[in-house]
Amino acid sequence: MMLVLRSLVVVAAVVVGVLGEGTEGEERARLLAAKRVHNLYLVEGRDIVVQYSVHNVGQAAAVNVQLTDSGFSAEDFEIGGGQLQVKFDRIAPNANVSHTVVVRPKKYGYFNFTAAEVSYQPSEDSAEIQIGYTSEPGEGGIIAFRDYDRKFSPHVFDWLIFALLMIPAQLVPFMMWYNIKSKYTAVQRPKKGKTE
Amino acid sequence: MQVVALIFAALVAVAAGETCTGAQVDAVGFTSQDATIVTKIAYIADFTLSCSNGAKDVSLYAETVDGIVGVARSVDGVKYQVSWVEDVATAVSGERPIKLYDDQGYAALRKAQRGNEDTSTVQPIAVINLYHPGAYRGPWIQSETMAILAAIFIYYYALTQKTRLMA
Repeated sequence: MMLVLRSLVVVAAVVVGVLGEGTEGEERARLLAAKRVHNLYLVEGRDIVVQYSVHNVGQAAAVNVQLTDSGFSAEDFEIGGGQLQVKFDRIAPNANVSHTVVVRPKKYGYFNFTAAEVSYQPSEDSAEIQIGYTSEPGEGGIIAFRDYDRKFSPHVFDWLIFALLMIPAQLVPFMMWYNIKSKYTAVQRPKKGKTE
Repeated sequence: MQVVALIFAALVAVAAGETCTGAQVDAVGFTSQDATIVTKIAYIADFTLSCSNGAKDVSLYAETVDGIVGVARSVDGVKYQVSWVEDVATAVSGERPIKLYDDQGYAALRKAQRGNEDTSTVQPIAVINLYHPGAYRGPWIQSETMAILAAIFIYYYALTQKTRLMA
């Protein structure tokens, strides 16, 4: 049986900016980025909610922030909503941005959720481009839809079939009894209830 | 699953630099509708912006449940995306207005916030209404429970008839 992904993969944010470059006095942006999967189960063909949050802990605004997640390839995933590559013009110091994408896996099996890439200019007039990565949610098992359905569907159809099979076994004695009863008792008892 | 969001465009009477006048947004919304396997409902609005003054590459800010946030753009700058997540328990169905502001509107909004003034006086350049029809959280009653109740009822009926007969 396929293992179910642990709920809510929350991984501590990874420091995107390279820390401690000996830049006293110089104000730069430092981004922390996290990638989170908000799912109880990962199921083939069903939504996976992926959220990226970027937080600027530096003193300067981050400019031209590009967030690229190349982990969801087109042959394995279909995009339900959102874009996998976006940019933010600027993220002010101490500001948060978040970005959400909904993908649907086309195949089942184990899948490794890798980090997304964040690139930015650490200050308004800086030409250098800082590249960092988000946290990695890690590996998760994507369940085949058939297995998921077998376990979690309400099985209404199965129960209906069971009820249909049970009806003759109960209806025949009931009718026999009912005929005799209506023949010998003058008092009418209009009651009927034979459903499963 | 794609819900085309209703669009309202409001006019702004300012024109300077990269401000957008006569903003027209064309939006496609997405919200999670199956809450049985996810822990959070995703709200996603993808839209394109066209301005009557032909402004391109406009930075936008949006007012959502997270407060005022910068709007994500595709790398070519054509498509915008506003998105957030909410807990399944708190995500109510219905329309969610997303107010869009340009740089000037954002500055005015921040100023109003700092001065504790009424932020509703700042006019957004456009408002997207993202409609969330509600998410499926599983059946109200389990089919096993229904089957057990039906079985108990039939057994009870048969038993009462039998005791009446024997009495």
